[in-house]
Amino acid sequence: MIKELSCPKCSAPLSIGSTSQRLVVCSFCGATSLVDTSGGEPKLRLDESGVLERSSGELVAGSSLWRDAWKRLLKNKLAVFGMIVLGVMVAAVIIGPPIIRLTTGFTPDYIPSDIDGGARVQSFPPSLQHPMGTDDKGRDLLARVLQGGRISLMVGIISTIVSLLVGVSWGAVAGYIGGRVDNLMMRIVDIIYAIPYILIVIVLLSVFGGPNTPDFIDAMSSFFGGAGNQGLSQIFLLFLALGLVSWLTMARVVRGQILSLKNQEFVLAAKATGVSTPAIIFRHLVPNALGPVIVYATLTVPSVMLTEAFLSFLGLGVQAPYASWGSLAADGIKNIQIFPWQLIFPGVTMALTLFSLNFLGDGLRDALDPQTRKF
Amino acid sequence: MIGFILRRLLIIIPMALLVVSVTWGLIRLAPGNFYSDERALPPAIEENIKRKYGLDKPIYQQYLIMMGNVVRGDFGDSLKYQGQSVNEIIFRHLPYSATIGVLAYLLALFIGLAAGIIAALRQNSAFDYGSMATAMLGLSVPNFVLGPILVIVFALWLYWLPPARWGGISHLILPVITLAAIYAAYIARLTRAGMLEVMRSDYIRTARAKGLDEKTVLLKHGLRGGIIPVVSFTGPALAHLLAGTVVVERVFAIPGLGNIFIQSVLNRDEPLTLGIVAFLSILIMIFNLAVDISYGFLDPRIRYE
Amino acid sequence: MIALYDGLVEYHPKTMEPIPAIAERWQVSEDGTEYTFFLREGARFSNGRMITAKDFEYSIRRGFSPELASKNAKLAYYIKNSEAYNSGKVFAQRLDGSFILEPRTSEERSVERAKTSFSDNALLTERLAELRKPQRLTLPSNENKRAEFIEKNPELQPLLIGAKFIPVAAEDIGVEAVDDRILRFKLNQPAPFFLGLLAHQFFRVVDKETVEKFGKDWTRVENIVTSGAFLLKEHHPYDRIIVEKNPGYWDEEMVRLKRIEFYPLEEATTMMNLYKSGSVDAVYNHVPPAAWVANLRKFEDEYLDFPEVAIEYYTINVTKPPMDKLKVRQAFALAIDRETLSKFRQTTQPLIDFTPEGIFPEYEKARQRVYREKLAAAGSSLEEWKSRVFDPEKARRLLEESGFPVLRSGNGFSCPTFPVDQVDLTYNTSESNKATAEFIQAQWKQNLGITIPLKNMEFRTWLSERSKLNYNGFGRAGWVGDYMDPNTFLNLFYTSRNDSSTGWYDARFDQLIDASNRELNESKRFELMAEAELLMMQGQPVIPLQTQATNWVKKPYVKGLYPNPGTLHSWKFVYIETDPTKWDREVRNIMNSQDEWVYRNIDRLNATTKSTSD
Repeated sequence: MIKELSCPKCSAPLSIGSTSQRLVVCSFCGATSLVDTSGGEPKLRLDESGVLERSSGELVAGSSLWRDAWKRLLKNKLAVFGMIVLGVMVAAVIIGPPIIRLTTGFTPDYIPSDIDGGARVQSFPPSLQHPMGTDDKGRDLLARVLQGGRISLMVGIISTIVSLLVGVSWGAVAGYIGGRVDNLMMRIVDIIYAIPYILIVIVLLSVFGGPNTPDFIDAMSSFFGGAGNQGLSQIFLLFLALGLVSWLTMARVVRGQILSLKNQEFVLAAKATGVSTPAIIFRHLVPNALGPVIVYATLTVPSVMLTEAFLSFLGLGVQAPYASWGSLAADGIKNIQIFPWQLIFPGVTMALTLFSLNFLGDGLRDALDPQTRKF
Repeated sequence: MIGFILRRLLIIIPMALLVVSVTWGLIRLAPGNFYSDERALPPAIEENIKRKYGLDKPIYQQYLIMMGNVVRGDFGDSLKYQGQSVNEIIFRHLPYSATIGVLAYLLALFIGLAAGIIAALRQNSAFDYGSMATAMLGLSVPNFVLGPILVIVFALWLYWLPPARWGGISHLILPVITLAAIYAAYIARLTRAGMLEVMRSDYIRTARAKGLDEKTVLLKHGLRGGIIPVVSFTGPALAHLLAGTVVVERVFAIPGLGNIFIQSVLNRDEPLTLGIVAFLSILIMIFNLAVDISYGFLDPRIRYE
Repeated sequence: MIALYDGLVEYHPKTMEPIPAIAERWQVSEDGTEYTFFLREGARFSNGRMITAKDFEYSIRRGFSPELASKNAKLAYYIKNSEAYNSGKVFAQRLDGSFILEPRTSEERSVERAKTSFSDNALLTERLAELRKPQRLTLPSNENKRAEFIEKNPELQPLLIGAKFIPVAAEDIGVEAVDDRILRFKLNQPAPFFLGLLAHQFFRVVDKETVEKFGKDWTRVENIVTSGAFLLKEHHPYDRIIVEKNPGYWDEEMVRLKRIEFYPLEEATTMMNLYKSGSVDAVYNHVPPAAWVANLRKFEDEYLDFPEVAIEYYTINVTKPPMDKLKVRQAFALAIDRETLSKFRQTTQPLIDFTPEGIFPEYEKARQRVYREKLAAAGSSLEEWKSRVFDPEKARRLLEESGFPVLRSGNGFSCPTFPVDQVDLTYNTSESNKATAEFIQAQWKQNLGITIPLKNMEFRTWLSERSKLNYNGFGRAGWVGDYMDPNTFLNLFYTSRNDSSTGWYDARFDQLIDASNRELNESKRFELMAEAELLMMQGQPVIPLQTQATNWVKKPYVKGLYPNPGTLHSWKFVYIETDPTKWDREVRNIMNSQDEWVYRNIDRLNATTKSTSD
């Protein structure tokens, strides 16, 4: 069986003789490609590790782009540090609040008003009992920070996904196709930019914020600290509201990159050899724009965490008595001259998470970059 | 190119009208009125108010009247502050937000580009790690935290600078730094990423191969391609900066447009909201057009049909 | 705005009682429905024109005009025919020129007959004679609405045959300039608080020529003509308002501030920073954050809080289960430890009835009497009533009686049968509302084992939802008295279309309020109102929480600026003291100390009422 394929690097036509063939070297640019038959139809994937090149045709079992990237990632100390911190953080926000409840009896919403006639309703500095101190109402700050991490991390993850999926595709398609399509797509972005976000959220809430929601959303909602019967407005609408805007600048950034890449030789070559448009966009262009994409994605996270704090002002997002990192920091800064710990602990937790995320982002970028092989 | 610019300029007005229409619809969908109060008004008084502001007319007529006025550039008077026209409010407060915004962006651009370029050239050096960690710090500290901390240190402890409000140059320093911090961080990170991407690309290799000296390669070829992500980011960012940023305005009590805009929405001050939205949408589209044009200069391969 | 315009009377800087302003003295008729004001000579608008009774007549009629659509007009509906004019109604005139009168109940007729004598007939005018006649019937001017109205009141039908409909005109309103110096009001009903109401901005005088010349632009800085102690220099909404002393003011000598700058800021912290750095001299009205109060109290010569004629309460939507059950409502009200709430909020006072505590001492005495009597008659006692401030035991019992048994679980409680998914606690977003809601949620959780979900909304959305009863369970509400009388609180529940946002209504409540409005004897009037309040509280459509307090900081050299129940300041009494020995040292005692200069001026102003009237 002879299959006509094209080189993933320069898109020159390549042919493979049989399904047993695992390796092919492009006669045009000299790149080595792997034959991937896992999807039924054989496909070519560029061998970026250089392992095959060096082992001159010998197949190294199980080697793949992702596996190599993973290996490179593990060699990056900062990225590993970031990964560990993020992992610990995720674990802590999930299992932390129940553990605190079982060991010390504090919950994020416990106001000790029944003891001492309310004398304890005030902010205490950190102690053994309250490692992060308490807030104005005498609530354990550690429990609140961990509970708050749930919503903040989730918001960060969701908006990064939206920004990556929607923003990257939107920007790449607009940039590559150009002309009227580009104009139309980018004007849509402009319009969403210009319509007051705060109004959109107010209307979203009033139209969809009804009390009848399916059980599973209620359950989700209570995990993040929302109230049981406001599921739809609290979680789904929050993601909707954040998703609506988190991709806009990403789309513009990606489009800018694609505009600059699309007339480069490898794209022209791919076009000339009849590679389909989606393939050019997603297999050739997007990977080459990955650097700014990953950086921008990590930049999106802090800004959406703060947007979430703003949305809770409008009644969307986490509901009192629970808080998010953003709203804890916002509450903390007001009292910084009197109770500095109210800002320091949530602030440091948030900063540590963002740092780790960023190190991981940089590591990922380097690991996935087809041209970075030198560290 | 001229044709392209003309077409894009022409489309701005209908686009702004579209944005205004959608915003108007949203205001009408939003619950609550500009006149609502803790206690409901007697129906007769509510009717009087509706009649006075033409809210008793059929909805399509209200829309047409509103559009008619907007097309003529007349947004009418603010509903909350009688005798203050929307245009007057916008042009009175624009200079505040624009001054802060432009200064902050210039500062951010300067710091961000310098840090980003050096970090990219010395990838994985101490400077790279240091500047990128600083950038991350700038991003992780929200400006509602940075602003008050700067105030406490420089205004309340050291008495070097005024804590808030508008006045001389000394009043500008803290808000501009607060606002610039986050943008400088964005720009530094985007520049570094863009530069790294470009410096590895074929045409830089070609340029190097041609024997051009490193400085020329860097500034003439590398930088032009490398700052494209920064330029893409600049369009919307600058438009929003000019129109004001709520947090910094509130923390420093600067009467810029950003806070007025939010207040107008919360007060359901429809004419004021629509006025600012129209203004903001025109700004966004002009800046994005400028960005698209500058792509062509930065990278000659980018062409528009 | 108080600084810019003068009225007939001015607010006393501490008590908000009316003290003379442009009116030198006044008389009230025996039946309490006619007020005659004698204006002083020499009061001028800022353009130099003399202020006469005609200007007041114009300003007040203008305030009622439907075209102006003033929101405050309802405050003054006690003035005869003003509501009819403001709502664009018509009189019905018979062919012989006489007007059809409002049908009355026999009780009302007997009251009407009782008030016969009028003093001071020397000033009787044709218009007054007309106004003294019984109330004319008023009908909607819109024909469809009128037909609808007549259909609902079939007894009117025979009366209206052949009647001509004449729109109620501004001239029909019960305010009249008898001559240049005498202004008279005719009210629908006695309203003992009317004098206090007159200091409200609605009744302050504006210049007719300016208003008519510039139309809607008359309030612009370049056009505006004012009547008060200060002139408007700059008005930049969202930024600053600057006023300067009016050199032509009738009492110019007493105004000591040359210039005042007002900064309406959003951020409490920013305001406090400006204060700390010395950029502003006083920060008032709820600015210092609750968390700071404990520390601020140490600054004895600068910080102060004081109760306001303002309450915070939770409304209950009584139309939806399970809150339609009285006992459930009572249980939730009993399960809140209000003392701790006040400690926690730092400045507020616990509130168990609806009218604020410590503001209306005479009313509170009457209330005590009525409650003691009525509760004893009902087999209860005043002491038991007062225990409602916090009684979790009873709350749990009441819940059990309504079918929601509260079980002990661990060291707390649980109430598994209570449908928490049908009840929320909704509030509009603000730091203090959130703090209160969190506290109360914790109280209910700890005392009843019920966790009521909290929900916050942006202010105007919440107003709209609440007034439509579009909420479950509890809703946050607050009310600041419009005038210094308990009536401003109780009339929230008046009539079946009341705006209490609870769905609660009781016809007996209306009867009591009506009766109290007809009553001229103050203590009897208060007793009737107290009875109404008890009736409403027994229905528990609301959970009163706290009497609000204003709290602020000011530099010790700012004198004459007092907290008062409505936080409305008469700026002409404020001055800067340059002599440090006279500075305020203990601001919390400011209300007990009499500032010599301020009181000398108040006495001087009040002197005119004492020497010439009666």
